[in-house]
Amino acid sequence: MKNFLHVSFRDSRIRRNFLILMKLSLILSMVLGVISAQANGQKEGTFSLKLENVSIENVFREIEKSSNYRFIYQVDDLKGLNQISIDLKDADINNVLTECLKGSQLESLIENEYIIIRKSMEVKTIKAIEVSLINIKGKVLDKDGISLPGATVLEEGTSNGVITDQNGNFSLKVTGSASVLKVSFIGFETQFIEVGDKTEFSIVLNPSATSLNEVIVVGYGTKGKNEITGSTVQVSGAQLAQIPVASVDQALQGKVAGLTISATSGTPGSFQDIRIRGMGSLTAGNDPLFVIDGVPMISGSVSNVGTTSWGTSVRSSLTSLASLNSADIESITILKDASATSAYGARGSNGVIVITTKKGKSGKTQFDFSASHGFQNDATKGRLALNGAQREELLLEAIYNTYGQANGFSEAEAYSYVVAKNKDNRTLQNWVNAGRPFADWNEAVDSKNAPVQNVSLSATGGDDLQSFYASFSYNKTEATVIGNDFKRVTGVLSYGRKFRNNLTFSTRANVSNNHQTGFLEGGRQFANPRAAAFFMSPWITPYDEDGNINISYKGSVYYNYLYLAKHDITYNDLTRAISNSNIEWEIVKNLKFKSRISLDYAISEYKVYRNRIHGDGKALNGSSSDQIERNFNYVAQNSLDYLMVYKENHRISVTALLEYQKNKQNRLTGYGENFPADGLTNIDNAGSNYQAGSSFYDWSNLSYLGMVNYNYLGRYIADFTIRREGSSRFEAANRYGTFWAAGAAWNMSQEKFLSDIDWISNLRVRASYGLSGSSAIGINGYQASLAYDANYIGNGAIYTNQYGNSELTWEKNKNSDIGIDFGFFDNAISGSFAYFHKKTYDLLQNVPLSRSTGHSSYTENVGAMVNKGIEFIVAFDILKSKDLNINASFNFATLDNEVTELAYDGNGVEISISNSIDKNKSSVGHTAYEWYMIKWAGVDPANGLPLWYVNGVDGETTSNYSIAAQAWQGKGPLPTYSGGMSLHVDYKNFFVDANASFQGGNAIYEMWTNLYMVNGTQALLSFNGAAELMNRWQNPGDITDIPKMVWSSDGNKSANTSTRFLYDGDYMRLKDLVFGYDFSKSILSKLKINGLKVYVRGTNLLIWVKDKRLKYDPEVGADGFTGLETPPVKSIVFGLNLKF
Amino acid sequence: MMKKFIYSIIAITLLVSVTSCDKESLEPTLAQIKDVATSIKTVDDLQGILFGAYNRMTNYNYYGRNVIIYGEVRSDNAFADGNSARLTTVSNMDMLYTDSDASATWTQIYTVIASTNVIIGADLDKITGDATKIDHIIGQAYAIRALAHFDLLRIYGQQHVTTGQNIGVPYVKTYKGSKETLFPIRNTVAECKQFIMEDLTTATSKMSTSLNDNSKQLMTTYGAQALAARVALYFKDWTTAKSMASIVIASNKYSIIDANKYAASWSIDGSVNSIFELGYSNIDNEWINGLANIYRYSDYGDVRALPNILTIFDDNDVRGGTVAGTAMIDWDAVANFKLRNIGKYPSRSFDDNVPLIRYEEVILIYAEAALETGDAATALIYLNMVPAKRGANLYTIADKDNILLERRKELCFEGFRFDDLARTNSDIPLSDPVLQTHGGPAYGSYKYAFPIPQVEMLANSNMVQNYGY
Repeated sequence: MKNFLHVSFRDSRIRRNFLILMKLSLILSMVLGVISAQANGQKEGTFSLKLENVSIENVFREIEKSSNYRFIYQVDDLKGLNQISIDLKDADINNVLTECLKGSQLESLIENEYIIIRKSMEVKTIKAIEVSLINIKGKVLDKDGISLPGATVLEEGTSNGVITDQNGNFSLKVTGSASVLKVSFIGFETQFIEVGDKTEFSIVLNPSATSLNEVIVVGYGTKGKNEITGSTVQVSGAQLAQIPVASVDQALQGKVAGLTISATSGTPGSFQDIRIRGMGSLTAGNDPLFVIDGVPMISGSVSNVGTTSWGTSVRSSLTSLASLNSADIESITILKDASATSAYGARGSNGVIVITTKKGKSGKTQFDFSASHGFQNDATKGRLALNGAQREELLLEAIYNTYGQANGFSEAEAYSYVVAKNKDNRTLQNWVNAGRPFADWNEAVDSKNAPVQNVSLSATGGDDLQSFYASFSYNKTEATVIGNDFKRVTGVLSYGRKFRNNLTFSTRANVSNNHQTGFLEGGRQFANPRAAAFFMSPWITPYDEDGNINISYKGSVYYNYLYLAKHDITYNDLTRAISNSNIEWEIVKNLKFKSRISLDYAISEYKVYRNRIHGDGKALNGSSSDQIERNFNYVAQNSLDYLMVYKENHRISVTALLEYQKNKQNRLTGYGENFPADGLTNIDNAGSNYQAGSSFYDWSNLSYLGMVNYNYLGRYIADFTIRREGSSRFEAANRYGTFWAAGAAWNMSQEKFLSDIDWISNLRVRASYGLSGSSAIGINGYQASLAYDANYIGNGAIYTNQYGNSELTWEKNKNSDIGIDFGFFDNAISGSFAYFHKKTYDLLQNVPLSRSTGHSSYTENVGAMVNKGIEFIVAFDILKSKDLNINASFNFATLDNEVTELAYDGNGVEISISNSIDKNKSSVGHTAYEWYMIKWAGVDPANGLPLWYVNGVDGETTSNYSIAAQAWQGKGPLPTYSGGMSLHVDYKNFFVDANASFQGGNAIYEMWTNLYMVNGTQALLSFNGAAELMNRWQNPGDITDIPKMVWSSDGNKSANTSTRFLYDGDYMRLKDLVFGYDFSKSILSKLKINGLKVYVRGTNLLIWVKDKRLKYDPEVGADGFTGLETPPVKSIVFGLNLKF
Repeated sequence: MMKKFIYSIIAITLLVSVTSCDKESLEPTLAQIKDVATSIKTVDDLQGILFGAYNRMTNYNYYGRNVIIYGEVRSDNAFADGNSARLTTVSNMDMLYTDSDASATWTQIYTVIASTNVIIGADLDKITGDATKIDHIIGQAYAIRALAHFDLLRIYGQQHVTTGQNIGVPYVKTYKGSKETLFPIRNTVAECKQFIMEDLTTATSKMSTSLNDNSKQLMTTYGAQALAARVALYFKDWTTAKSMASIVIASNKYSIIDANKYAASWSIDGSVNSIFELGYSNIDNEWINGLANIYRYSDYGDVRALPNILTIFDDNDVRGGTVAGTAMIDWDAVANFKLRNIGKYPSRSFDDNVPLIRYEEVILIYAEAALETGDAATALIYLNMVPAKRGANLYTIADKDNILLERRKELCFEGFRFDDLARTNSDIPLSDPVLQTHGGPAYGSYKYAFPIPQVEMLANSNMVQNYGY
């Protein structure tokens, strides 16, 4: 690895272009000791040169001027060469080069438009022993069957090797059949192949996740992995493409240290909570910035429509990321620390997720077809509800326990007492009289083996001047509960063209339609099918005797969800078009101007229809509402890049960039009631009660960015970024913030003192420090405002809607990061270790106000919070051979979050922040939203009453809930550790991939237990209890966690908030298990195709949960609550991938 | 050299071309909201904010439902059966400091106060329009501010909690005042009473009888005076109650509704017996959260009448459950074992106005105040004015029990019952121990006041929690 990058770049374009960088790495790998190659790729065109006594460099420059050729050489090699004279007419390039290098120890190699000049001594050495060698030849391909020009084929243990030509072909003389070929290429895993008797080889390289020479997509450009000073992780598209999830962010789980993803719902396409290095802010946004192809994008949910009911939001979400097809993604890079994120300025303070899409590749048009089909079920079952007989048993027991003694009846006589006093509101009586028909609502709403299917077709090709990538995809995913599904179609066209030698243009258009039908989640009762089992009485059957959906029952306020699923309409429909165009102009050498315009237009419709016959719409004779939201986002970027080379070894690149972003959101809603007939669901047909609404918001951002990157011999790297950013979210005087970051890296393994140590293939240390910020608060949040959307008796009414704070400005965080990257034994063991410390201060915080102000909170820059932790990644090549390869990787991260400062009220008392006051609190010295609640002390074996600790910790217990104190529970909702592991095995053409993820150290709270875990009438009459209630206390001495059944609505408050329903969040999950077969080239060539792979993939097949009391899925939203949302799914998918 | 220079110029021009980075490019559009400081300029703006205050009163956490229900389910008139789990903790009189109803109503009423304070605190020099009209608007704001604080006081104040030390609620007189107003303390009950009466006096003096709104949907001088009578009665200030009631009576603007129009009057806006009512149109309340729903309908109809209430009415009383065709209280048509208020707030389309002050109440206030000031004869005359127009038997004597009984009959389901019990130092009667889950707390119990919501306690260390929570 020594002298890596020890090259003087004569051409700044190399730095900028991914493809060129690939070639550059080809060249570099040659410099690293590959010593024989064949010149090829002759171009048309001849040269006439007449120069006298010039340096050889001047000759090269003349050639560069009059042709497309660009020279690459080590400056040292040209030192000490004599000046030359040259006089040639109509000579071809080979003649010119021969003439130039005559008498020197140098030779030339032409690789397309690049001419590499290097020392030629070693070549001659090999030629000398050539006689005893055997000839072999072959081709190197990637797993998609695309040839890999520039791959290195080396005879192991020698310096004998070649580089593949532009068709991926090579030929080599090796010492004998015992020789082993070492085939390597940047971005791919190195392969070892025994020569044996074979003389012709077809070698397929697998993409590498840990390659050191990988090109990393960073802020406004790409860099070699060794040039990076920040903390980044890149995941290749290939790792994501086949994971059957509706939106690509879900596929990242467990793959990146320090990144946690929590599903707010398993409904296909719904929004995910993504946290990079924890929670930076208490009440402002904690979502990372998404950047697609260099442009900051609108992420988040396009539809967060819903109402608030009993303090919980009943919601339906659809992530805008669902509009991307994961097969179109080239890579996703996660930028974590200040140095990496600073280019994206303030909005990168919660981390940046950079998505790079696939671009056209030159060459013959390649088609890629993939299809998968599978089915899915809930990954965890959750609780079951009581059946009719169980509920009867418990209800009668509760009656007897409460009234038996006082009224002198036995347990057997309880039913007569119920009838006499009508204690059951006739519900039990009706069921008993009907002959106790069996009803299973769990079953009724379950959609077993819900199908999921994915089809995509792409084509890419091009020539020297232009290239294209086009794709089409279709996804259909049904949810594991009736009535919900997700459909998406996408179309992409990416096109690039060279207008002039110094002017290139590329554009990409991505249009998609997403249709998600689904009921509102997050709440309870009718809106949520998951809740049906706990809200529908098991004394009511889902279907009537004739098999029709039962809507004629009495004595329940709840509607038959089966009917609603069939006759009501709820959907989100998102059409999104993203256009991203880019022009690059090399004004003069090393000075490049780039301009990018991105237009992102999303139209989403959210429609709700409630039918006339049954349900919420009945009383209104049908109701319909429709909401159309148009979101237009415009980003313009102009930048100048300049590359300076000072005294040969100092390379400095400077970038100046201006970016303007504007977002406009326009919403129009309509509503109507009273439909004249069934089957009409649009507002136009409503007869009365028309309502209309609208909203308009815009926001904008203006940024000036400067970046300087210094590189000395590839050993010392330093960079500095400064960004001044203005946001419309603050008042004019406080609008601008200046943010910066500095980073440095030392590639120690490039140093002489380490270069001799063979087993160290890579060792580098890096550090960064920076100031970044956040403006993730509501639009116009600083303004004290009046709203006008109310009315009173037909007159427009005005009300105070925002307390306002004109002093509001950027939230800031200081972020330091130190890391070591390593690779040992030829990178058979590689990885990195990092420590980070991030202090957020001037938090944009919703400080609770005394309600007597008429407002509940206002936003202030107050408070501070610290996140710190370590991140560790390691990958092993356990076995590498021709037939069997095994590699494994492991990542682990810790997170320590602490609130260090909050707002104080007039008496100097801290104003703590909570999002559920009897459950959690953010307070100085504690983790954000740490659980703060009454502590459960079990059930008194003597009398079956619930017990709590009086002081909230230990000691004295009480069965009077209202005198028990709240206390800290030591854990918050965010995991304190998380990680993942993966294993890849391939044997001949078979392969197995396994991925697992784990996290823990947090606690999660089960939301609706106060309804279905009550040992009182809420569970026995109003709602329905969970089956666990059967384990209730019955006789003195019983040891159980379920109190005695009693006839009161809340069962002595036993199911009120307490640690009874707070569980450890630790779990480990087998995310993916893939088994596949990759057809060999010999079969493929007979079939005249380039690649064929079949696989079966299982997702979420296994889970281990630490806290056995937890019945629901431990994957919950970042707030740590588990409700009755759709849980993550377990799926089995069969797929095939065909290239032709 | 020249060429490089030109290129540099081009480059820099290009760099800044797309972003014409003037200040306006970062100015957000205020499309549907306006800045508070600069947007109150005319009498119409003030009027709009006043409408905003009324509108906030119509919310279901205030007079749209809950505040009315609080007065009923904590009494012997009604209870919440938990059918859809609404208002059960109130009905059980077993609230915790985290109670969501306690918090929602506290919050909602203070938003009304904030709206009135924007009007009261407006800089009159900057407002154009007729001065009398402006004063009339400001007067209404004072009256509503008084009403809102009175409602807070009777729900959260400690006047009926034996160990409550007579702490009231923060009486807020400014919108966005000084830093101290962010952390207000609770005024005493006496201070609250004083401020309420002061505000009502100011209200009457600012408003002009000539500008009184005839639709009854806005506060008027008589509304403010009737309110003063109600507050005075609550605090046993019989003289004030009597004098204030007498002004309203003397206005001759209102009359007791006739027996044959009684049932229908609940669906009529601005009927003759109405002094002040909140205007509702059919889009004002989500049906699921409306009064009609919680009283009348089997789905979401959580608040049921206690069977005992049927027994207080004479056979021909139009307010009872036995008069054919006009029954105000009846058994549920779907589940016939549930007794319901079906007469008041009947319409499920929610366009029934909600009367807040009726003339009958003023008559009964006058009767009670007369009795308490020693004029039992006058009291009897006024007391009998109401049953005389209800098809009910007349009383032979005016005593406290009869007046309270008549108030219960006339005002049942309108939210008065709990306060009538509390202000007469009564226990909550347990007429039906099976249905009434509060167990009949004795007068002075901490349960006579709601808890101060935890959200308020957390935001303001000056706030003192009510005894018992």
